[in-house]
Amino acid sequence: MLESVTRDFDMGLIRWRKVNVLEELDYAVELGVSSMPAIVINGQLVFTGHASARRLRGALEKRLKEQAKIK
Amino acid sequence: MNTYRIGEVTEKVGISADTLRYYEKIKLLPSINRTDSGIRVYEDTDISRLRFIQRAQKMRFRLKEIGALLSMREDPQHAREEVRLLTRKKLDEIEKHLGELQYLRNELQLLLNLCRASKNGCPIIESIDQEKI
Repeated sequence: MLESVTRDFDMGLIRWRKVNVLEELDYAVELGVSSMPAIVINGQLVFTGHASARRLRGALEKRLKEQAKIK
Repeated sequence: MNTYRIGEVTEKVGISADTLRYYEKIKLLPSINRTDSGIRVYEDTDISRLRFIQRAQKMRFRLKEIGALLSMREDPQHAREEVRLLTRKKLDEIEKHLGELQYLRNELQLLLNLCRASKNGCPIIESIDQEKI
């Protein structure tokens, strides 16, 4: 799902990766992840549990707009 | 005001009679009132003080430090500078400890949730068990 949502955006606009929580436990705890699946955007925990494609797209668009304003 | 005999205090706070007498001797407790026949009679304020001592000991504070903190507890407005500094230092230690506890709690919560989500038992706990062997 994540892959298909990110494809909707311009190439290179969004970089993403899957994290194996057991391999990066400290990172997960620091982010506040308490259960899986979880989605973190720009270092901020945004979704815990299953997020719909619509909500994920919305969250990504919101952050892209915020970043554009800063620039 | 409630009063308690030494046996009741022992039961209430889980500190032995010998230790209670020792605390009085080294002045962690004030001089305890006695009945005419010499039996110690503790009050609620003593129980509160003992619980403070217990909490401080759980934080691994030394008895000498606890004594200073108790003087602060009794009269914070007139505490000596060194006692104020010690209290500040101990507060910092507690906050650091709390931070570490919070981190550990979050880590364990995450591990438990991962275990619950796993269909084939709990791989994390199993691997920890194997390490012990």
